[in-house]
Amino acid sequence: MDDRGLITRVLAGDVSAERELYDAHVDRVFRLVYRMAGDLDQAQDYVQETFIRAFGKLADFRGESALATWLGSIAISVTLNGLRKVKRFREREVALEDAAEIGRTTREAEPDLKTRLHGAIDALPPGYRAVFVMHDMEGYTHEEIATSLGVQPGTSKAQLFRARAKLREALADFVTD
Amino acid sequence: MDDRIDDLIREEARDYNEPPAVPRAAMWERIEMARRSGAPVAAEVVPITTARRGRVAPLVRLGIGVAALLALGIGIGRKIERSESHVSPTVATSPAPRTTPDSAGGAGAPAQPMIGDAGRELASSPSAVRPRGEVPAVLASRTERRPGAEATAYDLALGQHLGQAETFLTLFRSSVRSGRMDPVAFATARQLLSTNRLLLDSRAGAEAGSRQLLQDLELVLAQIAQLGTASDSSDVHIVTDDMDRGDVLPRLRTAVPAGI
Repeated sequence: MDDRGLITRVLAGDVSAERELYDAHVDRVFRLVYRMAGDLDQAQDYVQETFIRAFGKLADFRGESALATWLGSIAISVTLNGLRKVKRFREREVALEDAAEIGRTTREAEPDLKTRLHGAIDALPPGYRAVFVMHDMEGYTHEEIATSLGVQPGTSKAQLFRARAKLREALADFVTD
Repeated sequence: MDDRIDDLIREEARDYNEPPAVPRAAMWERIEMARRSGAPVAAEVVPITTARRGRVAPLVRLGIGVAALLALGIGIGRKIERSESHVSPTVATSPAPRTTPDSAGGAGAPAQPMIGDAGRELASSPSAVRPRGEVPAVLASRTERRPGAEATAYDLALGQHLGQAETFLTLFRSSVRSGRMDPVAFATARQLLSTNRLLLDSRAGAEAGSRQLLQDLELVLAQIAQLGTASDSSDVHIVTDDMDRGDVLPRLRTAVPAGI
């Protein structure tokens, strides 16, 4: 059944349709949220919050984008808000300018390229990281990302460009070796 | 060259935060439960025991920050209170606001309009996202009553305290779920408890809505503070059950101003 039919059934109070909708989309939502959060407990909470909000707002869904994109936008909003809170509490994020430094300063301590890359991705500002994860890792289009993040597709492209530039910078000496 | 590095990045990034198997059934169960009860599920959970993140320092900073902010807030409030009573004695002769049946809290203090409504709103409203700058009902009623910086000082202290308590309880619940208690949590609970009691005894706790929330919070914090590392899991679950029964976390989320 297509999303439109599923939505109609959910809005009519069909509980099994809720589960069908959840089953149809939860994997993609979970992958994205987990990639961003990197923590199972957090990821589960964000996914749950995403679907609860989605069911609560389903009547407002006008079908201007695909249901998956709409769910993605809720998921990314919930996740970024949650991570922002975590950041405030833990202060684990570093400034954009520090992303490249992580690679350089920890080179000897972390000789593994993958470790350094993952550290550099962690160090990207959340917005850049979201675009990078969505596009380069989860295969979202710039249009989908733009809809999810509430920005223009051009902004999404620019942020991806900058994110990649920062990662290249972080890995530059590694690659040239 | 850049293309080569980009390819390398894409290749090596593939297993960045590689998702495990999707815990479909467990999440669906909690979604259903939350929807049935009408209460929000926990969001923004920060596992206290995640090894790759710092654990101790933030909890210590939490307590210190709360204490410092409270002291500052109360200090400013008292200073302003003194100066207002000196300059403008007519404040004390203003007509008392309408009394409401729900405004039992704050013995001796005049009942405030909207307090009952604010309390009910606090207790029942979902933790929906509030636009930045919008003042929650409990704090809004306070702002209406006290003009200027005095209200701001108390509201700031109260808002910060509730925000810190919310974060702490979220951490605590997460650590309970993972089965690993951090001893620092008990010390933090004690610090928050002290702050909570100071707020209850200050004008921040004079209004029914705030007072009720602070009292419920006090109970939970006191229970956590009394737990020791040797406590068995049933003790811990009694605390989390009390939190759930009183909807403490959802109410805190509702009461915490956006941006705190």
